[in-house]
Amino acid sequence: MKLLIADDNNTERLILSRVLENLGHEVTQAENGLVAVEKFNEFKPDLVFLDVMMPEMDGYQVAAQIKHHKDKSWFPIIFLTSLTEASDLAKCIDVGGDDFVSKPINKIIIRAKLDAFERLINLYNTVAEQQKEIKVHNDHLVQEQEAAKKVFNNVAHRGCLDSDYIYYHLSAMSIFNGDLLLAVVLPTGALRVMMGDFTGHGLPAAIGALPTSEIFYGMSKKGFSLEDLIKETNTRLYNILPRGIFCCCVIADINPSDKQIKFWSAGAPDAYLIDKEKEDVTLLHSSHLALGILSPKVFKAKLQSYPFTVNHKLITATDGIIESTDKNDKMFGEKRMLDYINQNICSENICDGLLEEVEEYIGEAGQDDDLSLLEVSFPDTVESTQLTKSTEQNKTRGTADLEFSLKLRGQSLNEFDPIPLFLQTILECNELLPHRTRIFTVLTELYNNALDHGVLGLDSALKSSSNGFAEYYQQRADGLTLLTNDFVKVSVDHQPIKNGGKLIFIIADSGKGFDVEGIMKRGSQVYSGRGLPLLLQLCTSVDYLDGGTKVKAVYEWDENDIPD
Amino acid sequence: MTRIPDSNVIDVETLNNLAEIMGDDMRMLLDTYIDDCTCKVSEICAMSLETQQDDIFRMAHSLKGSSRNIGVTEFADYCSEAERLARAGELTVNDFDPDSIQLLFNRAVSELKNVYL
Repeated sequence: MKLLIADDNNTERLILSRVLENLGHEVTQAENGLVAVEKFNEFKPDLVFLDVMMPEMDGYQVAAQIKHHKDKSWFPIIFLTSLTEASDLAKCIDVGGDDFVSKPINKIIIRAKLDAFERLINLYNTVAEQQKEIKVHNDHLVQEQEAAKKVFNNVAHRGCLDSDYIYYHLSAMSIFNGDLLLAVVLPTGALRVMMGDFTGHGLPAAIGALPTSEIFYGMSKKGFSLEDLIKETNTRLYNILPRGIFCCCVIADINPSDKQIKFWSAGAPDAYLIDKEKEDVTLLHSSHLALGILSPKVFKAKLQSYPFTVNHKLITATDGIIESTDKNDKMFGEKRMLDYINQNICSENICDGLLEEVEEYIGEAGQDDDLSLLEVSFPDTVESTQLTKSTEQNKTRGTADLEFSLKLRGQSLNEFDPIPLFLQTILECNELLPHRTRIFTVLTELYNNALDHGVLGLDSALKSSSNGFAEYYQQRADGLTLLTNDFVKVSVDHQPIKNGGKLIFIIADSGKGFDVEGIMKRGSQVYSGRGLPLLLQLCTSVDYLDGGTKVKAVYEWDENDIPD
Repeated sequence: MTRIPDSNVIDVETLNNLAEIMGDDMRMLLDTYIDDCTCKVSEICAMSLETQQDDIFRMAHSLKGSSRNIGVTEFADYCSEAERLARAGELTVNDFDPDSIQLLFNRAVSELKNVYL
């Protein structure tokens, strides 16, 4: 080590110097306090021996000056003293000394102390190095998190959460703790919402939200059903998330034309279905394991359906609200939440009030702000043109001139929804993008008629009663599982005409058909919700052939006539 | 050593240990000690008991320190006692006078020279 000895006594200084050199150290000497400070700055020793009584500047003063030198990492100071009073010795430590040796010096003691301090210096240097390393890693981590946040914000955007019929709360903190809120308008005009809560905190929790939101928006845009979306999300999360990480969620489709909500909850706290007219709250329980747990082979998504009119509201929250604690560690709890909702059932905005209630409850206990809340009313001002404001810059005519068909038989009718496939193919002709909603409506209507009424023989009159919806969809689900030889064949013929094109849809089914003329005469309110009038409104022509087992619908479009 | 020193004046063991440490520089060290202390003894002898108790304390402390290191025990003991009393401001001519200190120092130097130089 490099050692500095400051002692005005030549004899003592000489002896100590020789003892230290004999031990293999490099020694510099100072004969008074001032020289000691100078030599310290110049020599930067690893350890300093200081005599207490020196002229110019005594040992205490020297210690005070050099101990906190900003250019020097920690070093020990050993006082040399023949003073024996306890108070004198204590003062050595008080002024920044780390030890003292009494005079006359004993070389064995000197050596032992030097060894001990050398170990301490090594320890200190190791810690300082590691601290530097930790800081570098920490800076990297922070940078990575910032980058991740930016990507996240671009992908997992809020969709249509800012619509008039939605109130919500989602903080940056809760996003980064794995909470997710998504909302989109489907091509049908229905509203699809999702509230997710990934296990864990920080980046590992938030990262699951990226594929989830991609799938949500991607599939919804293409008109995939809720069941398909849920299955695909589970498959993706099952494949990519590490063990122990999963997503508790609530997903729902609210259809303003059907006045119906399809609901699915997995591992989430109860959601609340409010009927403002009856002043009633129905608790919607979770009935599935969270997403990402079950293998796709055994995963099933069974939706629950309920009526949903202008008098209804859906409220859902992640467990942050119920689990908020006050200063005594007592939870807010489900009862308090339900009580608040019951007391404010007709309030326009329950969300904000509930949050204030929770914040007051938490009080000074401070909060992690892990509170995510969604309140959805009847979406009567849905903008179905939202999806047409796309960022696609490359306008190509793609599939402007094509013909293709698909025949689904037996269990494929149960397991596969062909509509997104058709829609995607047709819309490769980008000029049709503004017509997306209409084309989707026509296709869905024709296909569902063929499947529900043609093949399955279901009576849509069932859907007009409030329990009827559930019964109808139960019968539909049951009927689909029994199909063996039935089929639905969908053909699409897209022909260019001047300034636009002509889409010819032909859908044939293996059903019994129906009395076409009779239905037409009665003006046909028979079919589900919208019925023939809607098809006739959207299409240039609709003709039923082959005893009602085949329908041909023609949709003509003009590039100068953009639907609003 | 050419002869064993008077054990009242010098501690042989200390001197031997020091010789081990200093090796060939033992003479240089003893010369340094003698030169340093000769000056300091002159200075201390010239100090006033009435007004310079503090100065006497410091000088006696220094003389004691060097002497202990060398093993000059008789002289060191005398300086130690003077240091203690002077620190408290209680040093009197009974415990400290120039003649005595000079005598003891001379005795010590003489023994050292006989032993080593």
